[in-house]
Amino acid sequence: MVQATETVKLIVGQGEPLVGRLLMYDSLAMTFREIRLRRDPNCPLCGDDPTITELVNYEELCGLIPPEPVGAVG
Amino acid sequence: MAKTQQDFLVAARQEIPEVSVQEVQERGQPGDDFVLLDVRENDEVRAGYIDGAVAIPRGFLEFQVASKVPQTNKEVIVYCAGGARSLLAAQVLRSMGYENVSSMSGGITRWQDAGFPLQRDRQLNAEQLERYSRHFLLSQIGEKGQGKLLDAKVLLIGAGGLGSPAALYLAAAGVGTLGLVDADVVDLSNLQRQVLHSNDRIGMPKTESGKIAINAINPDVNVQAHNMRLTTDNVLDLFAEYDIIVDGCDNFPTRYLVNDAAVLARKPVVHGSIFQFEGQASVFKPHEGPCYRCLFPTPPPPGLVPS
Repeated sequence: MVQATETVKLIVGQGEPLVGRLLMYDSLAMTFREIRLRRDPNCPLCGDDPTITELVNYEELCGLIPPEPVGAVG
Repeated sequence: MAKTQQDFLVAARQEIPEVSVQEVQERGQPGDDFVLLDVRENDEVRAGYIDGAVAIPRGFLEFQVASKVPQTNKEVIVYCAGGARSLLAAQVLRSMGYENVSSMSGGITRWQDAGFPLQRDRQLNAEQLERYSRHFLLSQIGEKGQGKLLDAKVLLIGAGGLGSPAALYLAAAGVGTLGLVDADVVDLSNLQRQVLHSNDRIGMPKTESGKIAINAINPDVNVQAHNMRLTTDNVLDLFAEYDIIVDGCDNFPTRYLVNDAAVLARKPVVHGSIFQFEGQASVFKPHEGPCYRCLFPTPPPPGLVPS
């Protein structure tokens, strides 16, 4: 629901999307918390001087050896 | 004695200054400077309007103008089809406290005769006008927003617990193209939460099952079933076909792959993740906000990852 709503907002260009914010939901306590996020200028990917400029081996990155299936299930 | 239409117009002309279509055209794009207000009915606006105009049908003027034109000291130029309704509407605005109101003489008919351009939103068919009618009641969406939704291409990574509700709501809202990436088949144990799928589709690829569910809700949606694993070899070609990526994946390799590819391809990611009773959501818009690696530059050690 939250993801669908955010997607619609991005498409129509309305409201304040969760850019720079992480929404955290605890269904047992039924609480919503939010923390501010900032772009890290030293981020290896999107920082000012990125060191990652192409895709890497993600199984290896995650320490999964031998590589496990990367099927998306959720 | 009863007043005639003519009496009303004569009185309005004495009160409201009129501007020519040429003068309006020379002012350029409405915005900070002035508001161009279209007071025609919805079906007239649908046939074409002046770029940048704010539309409020005359019957709703008193009810909607405060939210659409909050500053009463801002210059407002009103137009309609022929220049009569706009005069009367301008009178109303003036009595509501708008200080600088004028009416475009001859209306959009004269604008068109002068060869000035008209803007036309995506034309919706009768079924779409009814299907999305509740969206039109929301000024933030309206027919213009619906056109954007129908033109949008959204890729859902995973047709599982997170992808399911996102897919159903985006389909219902009329997102024109929905891509589903998933390499799994529907399993009985999925059905307790993955509401895109159903009992009679156990064993079917999730992308196919999702396509059936989406088309059953809204035949407007073009579903692209990508029945495959997302890999470094296919991700960039796939992302190139879409505007927005919705990440509902369930593992770290895919999450980092999606994040890196989205930053390289400059596509926004609507992020979601869940574990047991807790969930997180954010929007990673490349270079406008943080990406997933700004938060977590590298994945956690495998032993710490709950499965």
